[in-house]
Amino acid sequence: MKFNTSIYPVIALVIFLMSGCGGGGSSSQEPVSDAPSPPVAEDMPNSEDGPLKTEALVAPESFDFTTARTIDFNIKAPAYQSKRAYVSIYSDYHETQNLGIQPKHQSRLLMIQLQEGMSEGKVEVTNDVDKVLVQVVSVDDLSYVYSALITIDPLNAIEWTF
Amino acid sequence: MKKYRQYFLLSLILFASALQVRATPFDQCPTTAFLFQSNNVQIYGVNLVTGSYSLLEDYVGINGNINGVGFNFEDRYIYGFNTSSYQVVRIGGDLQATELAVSGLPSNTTFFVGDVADNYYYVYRKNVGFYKINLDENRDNFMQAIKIDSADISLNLTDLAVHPTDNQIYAVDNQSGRLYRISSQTGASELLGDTGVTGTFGAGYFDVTGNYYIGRNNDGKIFRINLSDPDTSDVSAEFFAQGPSSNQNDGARCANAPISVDGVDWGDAPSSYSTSLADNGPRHQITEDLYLGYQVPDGEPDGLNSVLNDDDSNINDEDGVGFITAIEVGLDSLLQVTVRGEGFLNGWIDWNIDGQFDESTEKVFDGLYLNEGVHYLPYRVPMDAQVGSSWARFRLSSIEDLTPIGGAPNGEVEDYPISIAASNVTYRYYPSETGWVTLAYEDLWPKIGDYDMNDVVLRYRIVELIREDNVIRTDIHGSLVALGATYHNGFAVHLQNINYEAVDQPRLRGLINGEVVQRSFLEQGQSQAVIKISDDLWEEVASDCRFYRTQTSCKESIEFSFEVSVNFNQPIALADMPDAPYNPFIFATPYWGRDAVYSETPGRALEIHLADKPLTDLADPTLLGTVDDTSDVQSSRTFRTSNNLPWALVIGTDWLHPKETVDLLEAYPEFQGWIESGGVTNQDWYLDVKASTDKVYQ
Repeated sequence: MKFNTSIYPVIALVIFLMSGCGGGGSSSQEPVSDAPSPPVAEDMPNSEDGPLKTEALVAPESFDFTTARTIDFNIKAPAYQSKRAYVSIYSDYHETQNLGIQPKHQSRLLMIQLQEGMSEGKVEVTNDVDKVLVQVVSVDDLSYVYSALITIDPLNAIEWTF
Repeated sequence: MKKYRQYFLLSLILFASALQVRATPFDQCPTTAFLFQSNNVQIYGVNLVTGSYSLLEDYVGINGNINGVGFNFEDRYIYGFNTSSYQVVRIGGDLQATELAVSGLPSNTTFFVGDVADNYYYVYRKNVGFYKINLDENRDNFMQAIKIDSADISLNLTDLAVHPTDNQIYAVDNQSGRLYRISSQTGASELLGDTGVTGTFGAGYFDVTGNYYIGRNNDGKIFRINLSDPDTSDVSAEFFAQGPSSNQNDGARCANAPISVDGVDWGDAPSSYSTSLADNGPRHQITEDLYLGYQVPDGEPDGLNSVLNDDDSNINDEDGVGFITAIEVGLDSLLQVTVRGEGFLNGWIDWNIDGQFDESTEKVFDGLYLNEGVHYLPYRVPMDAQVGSSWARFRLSSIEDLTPIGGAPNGEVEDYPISIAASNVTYRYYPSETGWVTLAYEDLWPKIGDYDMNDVVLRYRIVELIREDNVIRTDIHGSLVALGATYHNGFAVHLQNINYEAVDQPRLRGLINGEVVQRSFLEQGQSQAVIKISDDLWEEVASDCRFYRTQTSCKESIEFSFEVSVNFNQPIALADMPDAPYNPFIFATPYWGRDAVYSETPGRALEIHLADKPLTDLADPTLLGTVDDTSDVQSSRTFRTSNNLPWALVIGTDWLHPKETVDLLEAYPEFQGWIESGGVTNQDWYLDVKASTDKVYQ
């Protein structure tokens, strides 16, 4: 059988106009009037024989779909009990031969002023992060900066005492 | 003997011929500005954008100094005057010079000033004369110098440049700093105004848009005068870039070429801080031996004004400066600065939040020398600093005294959004200080969608300011990443359990694309606080495509960003504050159809939330539990299908969303394990490295 290839563009156009194109979709880009529009055949679910599609998945009833978890932290710095000092927690860091481990400042999760050398609270950490860098800075001493890399234990708080 | 003389003459002719053909013209109109220095002359290439330069040729084939140079775009040669041999010379694309036999010039007289216009080479010397030499062999008087007797020869000039549009000659009088326009026909000069700068401007260049650049010999500073309108009344010169200094300078450039911005690093603060080239924003020639942080800066074609910041362009290279303590009014604070190489740090913070860096009152680091490594630098926040969101700019360079604007031949500029606070404030970030989560929505609700999760995609970040366990302010940041739908949706954020009246409305401040917007973002008719960002996200972008940023065949840039600062009348106890990400949702834009389900437009009453999040007062609760939605409000179970799947996800990173109609499972195969295990396995399914690269938009 020989096809007339000249009609391919027409067929393609018809298929394009009829097929789903993701998302909601009135084909019109104008506000609608009172007259109802006919339903548009967009976003039709996958056929039974095709590859597994998301809509066929079943999630546990209690699953909250979050990609982050809340972690407690507890920082103790008795040496800074009477000083103005801050603690920052970072989810990422640089590690170089010359400079050692240094925070990626963009990844800071929290910056809090120590109260009598202590700080505790909660911080949200995305699931892909398994270590955090904790940095304590004393403004009174200007250049005194301490930091520690801590592996997150999902069952326990981030704890650091120095 | 006669025979030998013939051979000698023949050899001389051949040698001369060889000299004539030795220099070939430039292949094209070069973007480089050529700077001629020293005796014997050396030729440097100067990038006018940054002032960076490099030696292009240390010997042009003849001895002596060449001055008064100009580029002739008729034959694509540079012409100049050898001030040592008193000869006109021609320089080709190989940067080799040939002396030309020109008649009519006064003997034993040097010319330091010259340029080319309309295939004539013009030379000028004060109190001597103004001459033009025909370079077109098809015209009469080829290579003959003709003195223009009517010319004004009283001006103190050290270079001329020819405007690319009006073809007239422009020059700055060194002593007075006045700009003159000189007729190439009559030599008559016309005073245009005072440039505001004086000195020996040995090199002058035009670019194709009519900007006139003048380089000062003694300090190398390059100034720019905007002559895009040659009849402008404002001819003031602004410092533009730091170039090379010399006691003997002359410049030539093809005025028909744009200036080059290749390999240049720019800032990304809002436009009021002067960030783009048009505003003479800060920029640095990228070099691998001097920069801030851990990454060699990537280049951008121009400054990026906050909607699309520098980290969105190529690599994330704004990594050299960290504010490691709070910026609190009247107190000392600390910066952590990481330097590669050694150079001078200059830095500014907009203390009064007026959208500008004041060089005299807001410069916090003034040419501070730093060697390679990590530095902890103290600075003091002024007592009169304003509390709120502001910007800081840092520049590292081999140049000691940079301003917040202008070019530099090396180093890097980094701009940072900052928050100036009253004392004892804690910052809590979601997900991090400059990171993003992604909100992804399917908008066919209550009908199951195609799960390409790109109908509405937003970046989203929350910054909470906390004092004594109370939230005093929350800043909601975001930008629109994609619209993979033709439905029209608005976007808002519900602060659950925070009463409408708790918001300090006079201090509710919103920025759209970095500019303050004078409207209330607090939605009327709600009993609780709902921050409405947009009624119709399609109205926020000027897309030419059917969908916005979901088809690689139709790439578009991010055009809509927002930042809303919500202050509270009374601080909210941490325990009463909703958890991040609060309750962000999309809603149907009024008067626009949802024809897959509804024959009449539901409008604002239709809301789509993350799973198990509540509706707001303006939603119609009777829409819940219809079609494919199996919400059960009594048990706080909302926006789930019978398979417990949601219509929206919050993803813990700056996510690459699936292309149009690509099922999420196809784009991220590990999503299946994560869903079916209830989040126990495949917890990082959403990372770039987990994506099927041809299935996601990037």
